[in-house]
Amino acid sequence: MPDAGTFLRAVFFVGVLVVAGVFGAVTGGPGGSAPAVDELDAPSFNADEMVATAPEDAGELTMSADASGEVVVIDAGHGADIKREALAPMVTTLTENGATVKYHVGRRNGGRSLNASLAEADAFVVLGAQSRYTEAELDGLRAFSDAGGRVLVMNEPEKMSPAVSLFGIPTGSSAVPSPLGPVLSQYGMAYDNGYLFTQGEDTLNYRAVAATPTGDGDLTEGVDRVVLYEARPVTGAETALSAEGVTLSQTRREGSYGVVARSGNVVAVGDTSVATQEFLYRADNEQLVGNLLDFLVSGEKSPERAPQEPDADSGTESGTATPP
Amino acid sequence: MDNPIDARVVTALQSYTVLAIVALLIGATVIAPFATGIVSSEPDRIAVVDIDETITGPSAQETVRQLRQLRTDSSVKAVVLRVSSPGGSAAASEKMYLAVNRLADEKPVITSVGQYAASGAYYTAVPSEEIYVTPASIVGHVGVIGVAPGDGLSSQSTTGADKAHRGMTRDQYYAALESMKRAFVGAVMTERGDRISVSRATVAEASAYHGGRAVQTGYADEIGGIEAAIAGAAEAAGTSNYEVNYYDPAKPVSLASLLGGSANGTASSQGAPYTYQGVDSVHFLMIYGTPEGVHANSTTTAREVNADA
Repeated sequence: MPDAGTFLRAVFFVGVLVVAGVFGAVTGGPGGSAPAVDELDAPSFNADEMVATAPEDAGELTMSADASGEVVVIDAGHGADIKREALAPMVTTLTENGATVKYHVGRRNGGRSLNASLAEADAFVVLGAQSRYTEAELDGLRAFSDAGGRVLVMNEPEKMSPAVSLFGIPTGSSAVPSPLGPVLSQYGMAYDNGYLFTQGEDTLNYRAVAATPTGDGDLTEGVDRVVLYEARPVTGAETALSAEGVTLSQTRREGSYGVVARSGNVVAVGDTSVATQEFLYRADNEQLVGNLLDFLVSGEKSPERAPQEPDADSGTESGTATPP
Repeated sequence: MDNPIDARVVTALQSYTVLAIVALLIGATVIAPFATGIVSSEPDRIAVVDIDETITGPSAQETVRQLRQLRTDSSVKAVVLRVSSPGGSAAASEKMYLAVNRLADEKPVITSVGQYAASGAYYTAVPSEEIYVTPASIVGHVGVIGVAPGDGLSSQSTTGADKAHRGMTRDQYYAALESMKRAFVGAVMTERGDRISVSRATVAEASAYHGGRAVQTGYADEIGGIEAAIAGAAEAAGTSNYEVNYYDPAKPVSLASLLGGSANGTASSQGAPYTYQGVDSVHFLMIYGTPEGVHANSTTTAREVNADA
């Protein structure tokens, strides 16, 4: 039998217990308890691999071939949209090694015909084009390469022009046609439509694809891996570099796509940014570009002034986009 | 009572102070949670929260505040997000995701998609227990879009090389864009990886899916409207006797205000939409489609950006 003191203490205890419980329910109920700070974050936000790191530039652009006396003509007469300044490393390296670099601007811009420019050239470089090549120009180019002149064609994926609005109604978008189809088809090569992309996440941007050599040719000497920013596939002839496990935008088919191909004295590259100052020093890009420069100045052109008879009517149509 | 510890306990229990302390502790920690339901006379509630605006910093702030209030209200047993938004600011969308994620930790969250829950709005919805769509709803579009800084010589006087280029080089910009994408894709795979039938790489391609296809690919769970979502929320909360309360914490704003223009939709400068107050700055967007001035899908490219810069 508990004594009176014990009974009083029990009543006191229960009373305080009830008061504390009710007070806690009234004042603390909706607030809940605060979880630990590290429980509040999203797991995907905290992973170290989430943070991407900018790539490092490394390497020097060099060429091993002797370019003395060689004349390299860059086509600026067919509306190529690449800035000349962006080509500074390429042009500088060629001239440092003894080559002469000229720009073909076309008759529309007060220059000569393409065939006249080719007659003086040992190598010809095309960096994209917006206007078509005439039949006479195509014939002249063919004669030029048959005579041993070297031709380097570089091209980007076709851009979709932004949709324009007519009275507030979107009219859709249209692609700028590529005039380089007829140029490359002479040599059994072609650019595929669309662009290559990957979600491998190792190139920082889905449209930057890595390519590796398919063999041991001169073009890929010293090249393990290049990164092309905005590349389109090159088909036909002999593939020198291909991108594996990438997807073509138009078909959404994943596979291996050639991005550099060679047909005798002509090389086609499915990208132009690889030669620009911004992307030249990524991966082994500078090695590939160096090899391309060696290729340009290593031709044995005969007769030296091929094409022999420049066509007087072969003025270019710079700035005029034409249907495919 | 030979044990001295027992003797001390008996002595302590004879003290009213000790009894009071013990009672307070037990009362506050054990009884209070049970008493909450008895003391509260409010019925069960299902909260329906509208997210029908372009997600901006201010709109996210209002919605996050509302979600917190609902989370701490014990009478609210489940929350339905009624989403019809194309997304918006990347940072604001991330805040929305974190708020919904926090809410979903404590009570069922169900999403009902109207026209679309795309990009940043899908980010917001993705922690939901279930996502309801109708055949015309658009969900997904997991990606980030922006305009890379230029790299030319600035005409302004600046104190550092990057001061004129929005504080980062183009490479750093792309790294930042990639980091945001990884976080976004990672969140989607974390929350719905067991239901999404396409690969992580496909998610990163930023595809958007319509109703039935969204369910097939696991971007959504059910075909149904808001009533089905409310019923699903009640079921998830284990309540059959409830009332529904509607909340619309943030008012719709024009895209122009998100991108730097005034609220009435007029861009404030010639450089819009990617400027504010006439100042060129980095804007990362998680939004459906491609706003004018950005000629790329999901992530912009160096060359296109260069043309704009």
